[in-house]
Amino acid sequence: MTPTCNGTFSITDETEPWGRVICARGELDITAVPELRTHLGDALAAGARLLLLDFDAVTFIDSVSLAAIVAAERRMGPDGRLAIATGHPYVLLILEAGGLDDVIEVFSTRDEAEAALLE
Amino acid sequence: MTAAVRRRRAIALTAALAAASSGAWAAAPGQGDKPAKAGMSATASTPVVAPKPAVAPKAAPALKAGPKRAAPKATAGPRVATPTPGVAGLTEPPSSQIEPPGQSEDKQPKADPSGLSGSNRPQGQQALAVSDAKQAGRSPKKATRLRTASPTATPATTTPTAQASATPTAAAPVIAPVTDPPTSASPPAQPDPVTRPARPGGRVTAPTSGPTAFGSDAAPLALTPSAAALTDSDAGSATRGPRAEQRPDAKPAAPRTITRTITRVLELVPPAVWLAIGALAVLGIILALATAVQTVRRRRLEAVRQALVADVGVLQSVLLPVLPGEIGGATLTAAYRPAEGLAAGGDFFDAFELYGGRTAVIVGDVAGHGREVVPLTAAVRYSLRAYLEAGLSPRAVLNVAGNVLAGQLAGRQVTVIVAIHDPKSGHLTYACAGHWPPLILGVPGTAVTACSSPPLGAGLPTGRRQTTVAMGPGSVACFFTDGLTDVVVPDGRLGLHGLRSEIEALGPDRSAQQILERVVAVSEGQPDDMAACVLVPLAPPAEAEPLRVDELEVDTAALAGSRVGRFLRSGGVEEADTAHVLEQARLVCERAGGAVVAVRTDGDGVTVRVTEPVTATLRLAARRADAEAVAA
Repeated sequence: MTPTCNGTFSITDETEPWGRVICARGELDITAVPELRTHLGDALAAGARLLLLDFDAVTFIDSVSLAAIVAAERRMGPDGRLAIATGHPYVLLILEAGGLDDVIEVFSTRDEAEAALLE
Repeated sequence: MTAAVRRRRAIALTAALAAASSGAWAAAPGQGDKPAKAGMSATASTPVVAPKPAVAPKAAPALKAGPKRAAPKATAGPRVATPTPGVAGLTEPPSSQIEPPGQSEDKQPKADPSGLSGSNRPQGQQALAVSDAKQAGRSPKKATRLRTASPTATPATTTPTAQASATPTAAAPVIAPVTDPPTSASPPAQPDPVTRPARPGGRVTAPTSGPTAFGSDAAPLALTPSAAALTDSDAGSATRGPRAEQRPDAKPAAPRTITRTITRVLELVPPAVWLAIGALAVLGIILALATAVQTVRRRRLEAVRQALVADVGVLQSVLLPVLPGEIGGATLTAAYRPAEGLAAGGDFFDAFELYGGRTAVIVGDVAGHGREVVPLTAAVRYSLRAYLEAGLSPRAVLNVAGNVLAGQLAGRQVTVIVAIHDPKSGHLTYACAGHWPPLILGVPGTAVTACSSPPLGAGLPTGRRQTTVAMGPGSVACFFTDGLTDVVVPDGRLGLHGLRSEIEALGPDRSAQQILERVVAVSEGQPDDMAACVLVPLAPPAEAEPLRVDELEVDTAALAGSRVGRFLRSGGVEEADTAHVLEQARLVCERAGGAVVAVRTDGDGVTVRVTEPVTATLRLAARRADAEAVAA
């Protein structure tokens, strides 16, 4: 149930029965933002109501990437849910200090996030 | 008369030369006539072979063989003898030539070539021309004489050989030398015998067989001599031809020859090479044009660049003011470093004095770079400054700004920190919107990041959190943008803790510029703009006790979640007290529409206080903005 992300830096899409998973690995900085935006846009275009960002292998997120994620969450509307799964302490700190843990649900693992989303 | 003889001799000489060069005639000068006869008769006897010049080589060896042997004379002699009486007209020229052999060996060849040349019209002409050329080459005087003589001679010869040469047509100039003797026949003894027989022979044979005799006999004769003449002419042309050419050319001068050689060389150039030369020329022109265009463009770009530098300087002065060293009761330093080149980024800062000697600091980052963010950045900076000067607390400033600027930002997010330092209390109060809290050195404890407010422009309620810290002696507050924490270091990114370590390593006298330099020194790349402000209280109250107050403004919806509980716990509130605090807050919210939960940590420990939001107007503005944000 928990496919892992492969590669040094990558963003891949996975379509689960309950929704969409975007699996990223490496550092999400300004160079990765265009690709991240593309995947988020694809997920939204596909009409995903549940979107999980598996950032377990992500070690860094900059403000631009956060802005892209927040913008996606805003576009999903009130009946959509966007969650991030990450156990990386610095990524957690970035998310918390960025004030985004209010609108974006943050889970420590993908399993935990999936369980929460399928409730 | 003598002149005529000389001419004749000259002609004979030239003929001899032509013959000698052939080798056939010169081989037996002593027995001259006989071999000559033999050759002639041989040629005469084989008239079929005669006309073809190609056979000449064949006849030539026969002739050569003749002279060598003595016997052939006898055989050759009778043959010739018979024709002469029998067919007088036919053998007339040979018979006439038979006579001279006895007299002089030289003259026979002389006479023969003349006859030869006459028979083989084109070749004979060539032979004559060659002889002319030879003489011209040897003695110009003779050559000129000959030239003059031959034209004059031709009319003279027309009468004697008119019948003979009239039909051959082209033979006229060729016969000239032969017929020349008649005019000068009398004086010299030697020429006479030669010429006399020729004359009568010419006269006698002329009407009937003159042309035919010449045609039949002379033609065979022409074979070998003509061949000789040909070879001679070839050799002569090879050696002397150029000389003859040079002379007339020498008169005009060198330039002509140069131009001629150039034109000849140019004629020799193959078309492929011409094409290549043309292509190279076109290429050269293109390259020259390209360099010219490049030069013009480079100059223009340089001018544009200088103009941009000036513009960027103006823009940066708008976003990044030059701060006086002291503002209110604090010393302030600020520094900025763009991510790359001239880019005026979204980072901005401001610092100014507020009423009561307080110092206000703003440090922010508009997401993105370049010109398009500059107007937004300016708008954000001056909006925040205006709210601060209006007397709002940092949290209220961000709350209002988040609502007011949402439309202008159009989805572009701005992270910002707003701070006020009060020198009397020594308290620093700050609020963040999606921004890193300041690093405050010399103060115990770390910032609580739980329930931080989101950035401006994110479409979310912001300005809910605020922190107050007492800055005692030796404390320093560092405000910065994420460009500092996001620099690339060997093991990833510098991060918040890494930055703190670097700032601490700088020592007590640390300025914003020093911090940036330090960060740049330890990093391998700076992907984002960097801005930093360092505030150092001028006269911190020595008696100020350690104080830290974290405030969170909540509403009913926020209380339903788990975030407020997390905030309380991270502030040091006991788990047992959390439920009570949450209940208190719920009550206040019901009454006032909102509540502020403040966790105070001082020498006495942790205390929590729940209050109503400060101003009604601010509350109304925040409510309206929040409602709009939720609706959006």
